[in-house]
Amino acid sequence: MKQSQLIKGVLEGCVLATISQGEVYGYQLIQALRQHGFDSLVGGTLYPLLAKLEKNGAVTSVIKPSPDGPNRKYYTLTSAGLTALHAFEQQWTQLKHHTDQILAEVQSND
Amino acid sequence: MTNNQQTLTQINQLKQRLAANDQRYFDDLQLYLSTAGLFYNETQLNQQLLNMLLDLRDANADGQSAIDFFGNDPQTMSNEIIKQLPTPKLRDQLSFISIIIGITWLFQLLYSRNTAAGMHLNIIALVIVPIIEVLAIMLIFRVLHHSVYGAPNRKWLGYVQTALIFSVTVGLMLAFTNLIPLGWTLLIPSPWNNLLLTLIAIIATGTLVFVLSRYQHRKNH
Repeated sequence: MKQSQLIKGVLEGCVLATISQGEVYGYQLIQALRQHGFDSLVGGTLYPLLAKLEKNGAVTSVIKPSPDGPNRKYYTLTSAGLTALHAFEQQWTQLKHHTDQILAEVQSND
Repeated sequence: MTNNQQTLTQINQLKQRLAANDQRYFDDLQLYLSTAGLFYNETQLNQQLLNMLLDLRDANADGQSAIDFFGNDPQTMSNEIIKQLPTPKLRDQLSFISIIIGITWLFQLLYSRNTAAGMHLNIIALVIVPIIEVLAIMLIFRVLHHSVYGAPNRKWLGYVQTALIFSVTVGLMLAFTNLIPLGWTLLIPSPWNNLLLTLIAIIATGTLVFVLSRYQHRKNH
């Protein structure tokens, strides 16, 4: 399976988790995710996702003055986004648990 | 200057500082998003473009090109962004359509047949011509939109389609305004027709003076 397909499923949760740590603008978010191992992440994936999260009400944005040029758009998590993040955490824990179990069984059979 | 105009100015200024390839990449992106539809909120769309451009500037500073940063499939990215844009508000749609209707009616009034009895307004032209114009603008937007990421060897098709739309539109407008015999007409009796034309001339002159003085004021500050 391609890594990009695996990433697709968890990226939304990771974006919510990163934004929950404090307001960020687009480039900061991409850099933070890349530093955490999403090396191949590009704006082409992130911007539509951010637009979707904003439309769904999971994140909200505010235009703020920037010291190095025009105003920038900063994203913050909403209460709906926090709920979605908690739901993701639960789902991920369960999924990881099930996956670990299957892989452990495979390893013990080898 | 409105917020949208300020955003557009900032976009244009920032684009000038991009490398040639990145500028082309961003120009295509801007044209593709801007021609996605007639009624999307322009301010929101331009703000999105400005944010992406500011992020690209940061990426450039870190040694990444537009392709490195946005990826090599800008069309899919744009389509996904367009999908997330809010449905255009009826108010925005009506305001655009009302501008088209206003301009059309103004020219219809100016070019209407005047006799001693008064001004004969062609009602069919008043109704049909704005519809033709809106449809033509929508079609031209569609052609432009699809030509951005279309096959490079078929760019000519876009020019042919635009020329065709333009010719058919002008032909239909002339037919409905001049050639088709006047069916239903509305008579604005004299001297009301002259008063109406004088009023239009005063409003047009006032608007022109206002726009020029604002432009001069902006230039001086």
